[in-house]
Amino acid sequence: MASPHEFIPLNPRDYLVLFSLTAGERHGYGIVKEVEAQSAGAVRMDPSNLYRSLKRLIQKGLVVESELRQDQDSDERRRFYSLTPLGSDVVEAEARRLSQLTDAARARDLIPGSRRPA
Amino acid sequence: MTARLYRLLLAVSVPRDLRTRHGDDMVQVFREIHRDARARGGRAVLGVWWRALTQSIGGGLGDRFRGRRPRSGSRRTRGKRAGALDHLFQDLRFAFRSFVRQPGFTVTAIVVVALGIGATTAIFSVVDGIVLRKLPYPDPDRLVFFDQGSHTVPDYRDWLEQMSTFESIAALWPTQRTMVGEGTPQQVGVGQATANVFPMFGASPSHGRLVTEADMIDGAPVAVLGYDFWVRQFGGDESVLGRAIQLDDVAYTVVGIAPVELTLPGRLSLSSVDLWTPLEINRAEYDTRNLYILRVVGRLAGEASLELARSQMSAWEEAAAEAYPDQNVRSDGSIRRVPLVPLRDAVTVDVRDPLYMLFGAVGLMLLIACANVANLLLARGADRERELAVRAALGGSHGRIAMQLLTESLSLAVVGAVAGVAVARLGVAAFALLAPSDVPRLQEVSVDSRTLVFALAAAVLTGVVFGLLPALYASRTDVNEALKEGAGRASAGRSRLRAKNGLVVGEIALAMVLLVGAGLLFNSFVRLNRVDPGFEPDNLISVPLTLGSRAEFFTSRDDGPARLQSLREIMNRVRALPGVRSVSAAAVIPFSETGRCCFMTKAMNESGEDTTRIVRHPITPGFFETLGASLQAGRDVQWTDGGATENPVIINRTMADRFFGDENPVGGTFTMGRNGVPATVIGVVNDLKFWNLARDRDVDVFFPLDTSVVAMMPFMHLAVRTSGSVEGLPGALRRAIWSVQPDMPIPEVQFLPMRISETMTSERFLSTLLVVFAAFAITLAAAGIYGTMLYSVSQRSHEFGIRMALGADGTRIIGQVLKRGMALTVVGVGLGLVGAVALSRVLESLVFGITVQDVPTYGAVTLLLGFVALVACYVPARKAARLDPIETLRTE
Repeated sequence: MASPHEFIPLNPRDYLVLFSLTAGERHGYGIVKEVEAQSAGAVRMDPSNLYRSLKRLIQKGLVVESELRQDQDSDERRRFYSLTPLGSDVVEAEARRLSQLTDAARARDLIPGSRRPA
Repeated sequence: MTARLYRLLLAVSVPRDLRTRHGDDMVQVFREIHRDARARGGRAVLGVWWRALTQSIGGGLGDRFRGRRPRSGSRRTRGKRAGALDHLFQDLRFAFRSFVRQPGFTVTAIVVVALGIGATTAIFSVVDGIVLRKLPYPDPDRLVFFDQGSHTVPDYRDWLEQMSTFESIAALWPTQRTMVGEGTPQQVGVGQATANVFPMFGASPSHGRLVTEADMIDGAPVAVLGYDFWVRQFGGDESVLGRAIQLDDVAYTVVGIAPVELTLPGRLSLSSVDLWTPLEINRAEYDTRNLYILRVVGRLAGEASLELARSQMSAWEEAAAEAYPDQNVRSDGSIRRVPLVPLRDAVTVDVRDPLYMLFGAVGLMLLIACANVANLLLARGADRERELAVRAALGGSHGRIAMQLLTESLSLAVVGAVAGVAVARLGVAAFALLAPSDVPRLQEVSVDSRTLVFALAAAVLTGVVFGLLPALYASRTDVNEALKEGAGRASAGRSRLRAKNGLVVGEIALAMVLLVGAGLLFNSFVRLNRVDPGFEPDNLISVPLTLGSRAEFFTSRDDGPARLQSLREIMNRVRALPGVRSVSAAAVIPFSETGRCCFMTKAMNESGEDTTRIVRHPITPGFFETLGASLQAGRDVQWTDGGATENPVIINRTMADRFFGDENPVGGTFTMGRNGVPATVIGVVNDLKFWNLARDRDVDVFFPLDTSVVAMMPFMHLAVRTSGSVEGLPGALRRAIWSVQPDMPIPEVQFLPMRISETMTSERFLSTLLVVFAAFAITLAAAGIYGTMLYSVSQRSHEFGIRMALGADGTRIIGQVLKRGMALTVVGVGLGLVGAVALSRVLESLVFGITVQDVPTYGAVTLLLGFVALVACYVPARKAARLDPIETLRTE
């Protein structure tokens, strides 16, 4: 199996999509809402961008899609997306990389107001 | 609807494979997002569409550019050797993303640029089509117009013989005839032309043949129909060839149809030419140096220069002055000159200055728009200082960052220009619709490739102009300073504020210049409207009459008594119509159709010391009463005055003052014409404006209309004073006229108030356009002040916080901010005034009644600009006063 490190750094949008799937499978609309919630409303994806991202992630083998099936909540037929094992590893690796960068920035006081009291 | 629109968007922005696989899913998700947004309100829906537009297209651009870039793996190994093109694409994508993040800024900037470039491009199209572009004739630069109105046939024959610098010289006598026997009698424009007119303008017949040299010699009554006239009158029927048509009392055989594209330059014929007949220049009747009828155009021969032609012409002028001093030496002793002017200049001379004026105005507007966008970019640059500093810290060179910013401003400008071209198309269409109809070549104006090149050039130029300053600032930013907090930041902000202040001052100064220009013009238009025409135009109608054949109007005919009889009969029948209060006739009624006029001659006062040009008007009794003018002294003319030996005349106030001064002019005498015919003053009337309100006063002499007058000129006008309601009156007027003279061409009924307003169309048009530009300019300037003050308030929020904590109240803070804003305004207005005075010096010579000393206009514009600036400053000032001191101190 390919190493997760071949895929990082991830395109920020792809990262958010992958991240939204870590809690389990979602349909397209669910991903959009999750991404918006996770980014505190800063990232709002248009469907065209969402599916561009999904197509990329599927090609790389990080995400799989289901056939159309009934959604219990809305009674509509939808396609659902979930992470592959490789996908989970990649999100984790990218999250680790981002966290290292953030720590470094904090250490230099680049992020005002976020300094933890010593 | 929502889904369909979105699908359309996807169709243009998303690759086909993605669309077939996920298209339905995308639409479904979009519907859901859209539904959520609807629940949150209009702004949210707008946001959804904005993201849909930018992300679908932006992502599309990304797809495309990624395809051209080295793959990510290899890029890393190539490191800094990435090519300039890669940088460009990278910058473009970056620019796009940063614009999408700030839709408010982006839309504002694009709209401002689009309006600026759009208006400039529209006016450029007009200037280009009318003034700059070559005339649509073969080798048009060699065509030369013989200016100074019309010329005599002997003059023309002289030039044919003597002017070797011309390959050919063509002459046209534009006249009007009555066509009878083809439905109702109607007036047609006839161009009596020399045969070489047609090759000169590159015309070959669309059917049959054109006028030939042989036609000119034997005076064959043949006619060539204009294409439009042929279609309009004969339905484009070819069987009209060979048929005879009746013009007044002569039958002409139709021998051909002119080509569709043959339109003569406006200066060559005042009204449109419906058909062409040969001009017999050898006819004996034309052999007089008093008959100014011909319009003349020449084509320069091979190598001959215009200068050479001019020197030949001045040789002729001097010889003519020697041989025929009566015609060619003016009363002041100067020689009559015939200026030779390139035809293009002659055609556009009346509109060139106003058009350049408009072009200058939109240019100013574009500059203001640039300053505004630069201001926006500067403010945005301040917000992005940190981001740019980080890029610099990570190894981005200053030059590279400046390039990035320049790319951003250029792409803004180009997008703005694309939208601007749409604005320009609308603008040109509106211009063509609203412009006065006498603007020459208007049909040649269009938004085409030349215009597009201009718009693109304007975009690049404006992009550089408004992007340079912010880019320079960005590249000068000190990374350490920017990344530190506190003092360094404030100082960087301050230098940026200085730049912004400078821009605002410039904007206000430019707006001031534009506003004063518009104000002066508008003021002149208002003043023009207030000029007293000397008569009462309301409820006044004028009707052009044709009493006899137009064919020989310069030769006296013996049917004078019959013509006068039918004129009086027409007047009687019209007077009997309901709603008509009084009727009288004259050769010309103020502001009625021009091109038919009266008699120009000279008058000399009794002592022989003073000579002046006068206009002689034949009138019937009651003329002044019908017009609503006032007879200030003496009496009106009477029918019995006609042919009286003492030659009774009524003179206008200007002439009375000039020739008689303080003496009572009634009973006084003077002489008229070359032969010194004596005339006796029987009355004085107030000055009347006959042609347009801006024209200086003429010296008018009115004399009784009698048989000798109507025998010589078949054109008259009826003046009809109505009691108010004119419903059905035009039709009744026509029937009354036809009941006396059935073959008279349908008289065009003209309402005087309308005619007066028509003479001011170009003034109205020009001042309206300038006022629109000025409104745009003042809006932009206000936005500039507002933005800058807002920025300065946010820069100084810390300071305000401290002051308020120390007890300063809101009013003081407001006062302080206002003081700053007004200081900028005062400097801007001061600079603008200097420019405005220079501008009005130029306008003075171009526009009616404009003076440099128009203090009220300067004052009004200064007040207006000051008030707008005050309002624009007040909003940020109030914001400053409402700052929470605790909050502002804490954020630092």
